[in-house]
This record gives sequence, structure tokens and C-alpha cells, in this order.
Amino acid sequence: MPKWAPLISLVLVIALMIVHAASASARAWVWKVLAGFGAIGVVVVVYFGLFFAPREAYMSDVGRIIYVHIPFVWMCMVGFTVNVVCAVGYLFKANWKLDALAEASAEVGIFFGACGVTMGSIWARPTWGVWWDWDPRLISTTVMLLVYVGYLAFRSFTEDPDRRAAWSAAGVILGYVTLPITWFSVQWWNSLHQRQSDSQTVDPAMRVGYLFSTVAFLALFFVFVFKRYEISRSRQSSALELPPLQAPAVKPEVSA
Amino acid sequence: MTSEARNRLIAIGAIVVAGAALAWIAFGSIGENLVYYWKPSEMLAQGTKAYGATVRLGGVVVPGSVSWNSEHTIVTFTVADTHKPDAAKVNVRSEQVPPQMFREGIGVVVEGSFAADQIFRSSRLMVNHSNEYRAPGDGGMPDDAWKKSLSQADEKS
Amino acid sequence: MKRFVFVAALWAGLAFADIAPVPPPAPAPAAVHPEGIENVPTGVIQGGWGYVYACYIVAIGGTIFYALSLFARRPRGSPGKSGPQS
Repeated sequence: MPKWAPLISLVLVIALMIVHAASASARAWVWKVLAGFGAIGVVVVVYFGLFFAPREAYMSDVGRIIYVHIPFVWMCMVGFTVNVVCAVGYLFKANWKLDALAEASAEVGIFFGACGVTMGSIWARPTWGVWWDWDPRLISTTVMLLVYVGYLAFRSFTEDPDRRAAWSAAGVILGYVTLPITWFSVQWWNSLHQRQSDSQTVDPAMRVGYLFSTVAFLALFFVFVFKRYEISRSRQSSALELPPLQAPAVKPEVSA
Repeated sequence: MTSEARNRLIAIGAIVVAGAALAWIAFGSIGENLVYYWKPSEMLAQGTKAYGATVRLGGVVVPGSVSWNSEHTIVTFTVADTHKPDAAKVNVRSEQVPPQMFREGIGVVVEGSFAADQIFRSSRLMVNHSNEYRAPGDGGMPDDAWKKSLSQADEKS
Repeated sequence: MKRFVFVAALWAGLAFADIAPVPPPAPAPAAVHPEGIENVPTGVIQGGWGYVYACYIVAIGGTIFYALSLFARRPRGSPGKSGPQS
């Protein structure tokens, strides 16, 4: 894979996201393009990961798991970060769109995180020798995912939309603390999980693979969040009797 | 108070609490109470207190120290803090067949207990992979990896 | 739709641009200790494709499953149905 493939595709994907955000008329088709990007990208990743990429010197073929494990856990963290930005945004400027986007990104983040942890566990068996061990990284990741599952559970149990939005946002700001802890756990404490890799520790032929894979899954991440956002919006519009999604934007009044 | 002002107060409160919690975990002393494994030097520093308790010991396998008893599936080796010759060392006796990645010089975490005879008897042996990913045969793999894991181990201690 | 096909094809072309026949992977090097100790175990994983396939199945199967769940939950009905406009 050419060295510039991840960067070029990242620029394309981000450009499309900006088009989506900036132009209401583009919203009908941009997600389809990104879904196509993602689908083809995943096919490329599978071909690259299983057949084209070099083996790892010691992990041999098992090292090929890197091309799916890293993108998934990264997308999980991206999802939770989008979520906390929306949560803070909602509390400062009550906007139901931000509430819907927070819910959507949390759910998509949980999806990517759960798959990523599952893959990590499978990867641990041949390399570490165990499926699971309670090291700081695995503890903090588990706590982080449970926090967000709790966040969604709280939202589904709370009837009043205003209370739900405000208190779930407040809770998830506190819950977001688990993300930096998860990220830095491998540096702060002795752990079984290795530290973050960087360009110095990864063969360029492998690095280009997981960076490209990350961009492909980023495109899918965007599509998932957008489609999940539409679901949240439609639920809001039936619960809040807001104007439907396609109507001209009227900022809904938030009742006390 | 309007609901918007209330929400802003909630937000500021939550951010402050979250930031304080993070700072407390990052810069406070929680790390000393949250120990996943001891290095040999840390375990030896406990003296007799370390005997008998089930603990985890982590470090690097000292090159040349691995010996196998295939009849009883026992592997014995020495775990050191770092690759430096003068690093603290503990002899380990493991009844578990090690994972395939086990080799001299690699990081390991063993679970078991230390005894007065200065042997750490382990029932669980895990390989601690570094963050290195290299294609085979791209020049100097073993040497590079050695230096890297060396500097990483030094950095951590 | 045309735009979509065009951009998708362009992107696929980029990604495949230099995919060449796979050279046979070199055998794993025998690990040699820098200080010259011989007979160091190589510590290289043998096989393990089952784990690799399992992970790729989780990745792709999970993605398809989640996409289907989003499709199943998609908003239905005409826009006017969702209550009076405010």
C-alpha cells in the first residue's frame, strides 16, 4: 500500500464530513459516499491484512490482528470524545440536536469498543497466553465501556427529555474521565498491555496498513453516527413534538 | 434560575469535578496503591513481607537462565528488572507451559508466590509483548528489539 | 449516485494502486542474543490463523450486524405524522 494512501483517504473523508456538516442539501448523499468508501476500504483492509501485509517477526501471522484491533478501539475513543463535546455543548446551549448527537456517538462508540475489546481478548490468547487478565489497561477499558452502557441505560429509563438530556450530559462529563485514564493507563502503571506504538516501533509497511484501516472505519463510524442520530432525532420529534427533521431549522424552546 | 443557567452551572460543576478527579489520579499517589505487578527489586524490597502472598512479578527473562524439565513440564528462569547486568533478579519456577512467544529477553508477568528459599513459584505465566511490530528480516530485528526493550524498561523504572 | 460511484471508484483505485503479487515471507530470524549466547529459543508463534480469522470475523460481522440494527431501527412514516408542528 502506498505511504500516502492513509493521508489522502483521510483528507477525502474529512472533506466529505465537512460538506455534510456545511450543506443541508448534501446530507442526502454524502453518507452514501462515505458508506461506499468504508465498504471498499474494509475489503482493502481484509486483503491487505490477511494476504499482503508482512508477518510480524515474533507474532508471525497473529500480528495481522493489529489492522482491525487498533481502528476499532480508536473509533470507540473518537465516539466518546464526540459525545462529551456534545454533552458540554448541550449544557451550555440547549439544543436537541446536540443531545441526539451525544446519544448517537455514545452508542456507536460502545459498538466499536465492544468489538475492539473482543478482538483484543482473542489476540491476547496466543501472545500473552491468557484470554484476559485484570491489568490496568483492561480494567480501565472495561470501566469506561460500562460507564457508557450506564449512560445509555440512564437515558432509556428517564422519561422527561429535559431532565434526561441535562443529567445524562452531566454524568457523562464525569464519565469521560475514564477515557484519558484508559489511554494513559499503560504509561502510568505497570501493565500487561503494551504501550502505544509509534512510528519508531512499527514497521512502516504495517503502520500504513492500520492507519488506512482507521480511515476506512472512520468513514463507517461517521455513517453509523449519522444514521443513529436520525433515529434519535425522530424519537425526539415524537416525544417532544418538535418539528420534523426535514423542516427548516427552528430552535426548539426548552421548557424548565 | 432559568433551566439554561442551571445547565451551565451543572456543566461547570461536572467539568471541575471531572478535571479534579483526573488530576488526582494522574498526579496523586493512587499509582502506588494500584499495583498490577511488582518488579523484582520492588518485591525484594518488601523483605519477608513478600513471602507466601499470591502476587504478580513482572520483568524480563534473563538470557541464558531458561532451563526446561520436559518430564515434569517445569521451566525455570530468572526475571530481572531490566537487561542491565546489575539489575535485581528473582528465580522463577513455573509449572505452566509458557506461551509460544516466550523467549530469553522478553517481558513476562508471572503469578504465584515468593518463598523464603528465594524461589518464586508460579502457576500462571504471561508474556508481556512490547509495542514493537517488525517484519521479519528487515535488518537487525533482534538487536534493535533488545535495545528498545532495554530503554523502555529503564524508562519505566 | 453517479458522483458516489465515481468517488468510490477513484478511492478504490488509489487504495489498490501498488498492490503487487505477495513475495513469499522470509523465514523468521533465529534470535541471536547481542552478547553472543547461543541456542536462544526463537519465541515465534507458530500458526494461529484461527485467532486472526476470529478477529476479522468479529470486525466485519460486528460492522454488518450494527449496520443492520441501524436499518431495522430507521425512522419510518411520513414527516407530518409525528405530531403537531410547534
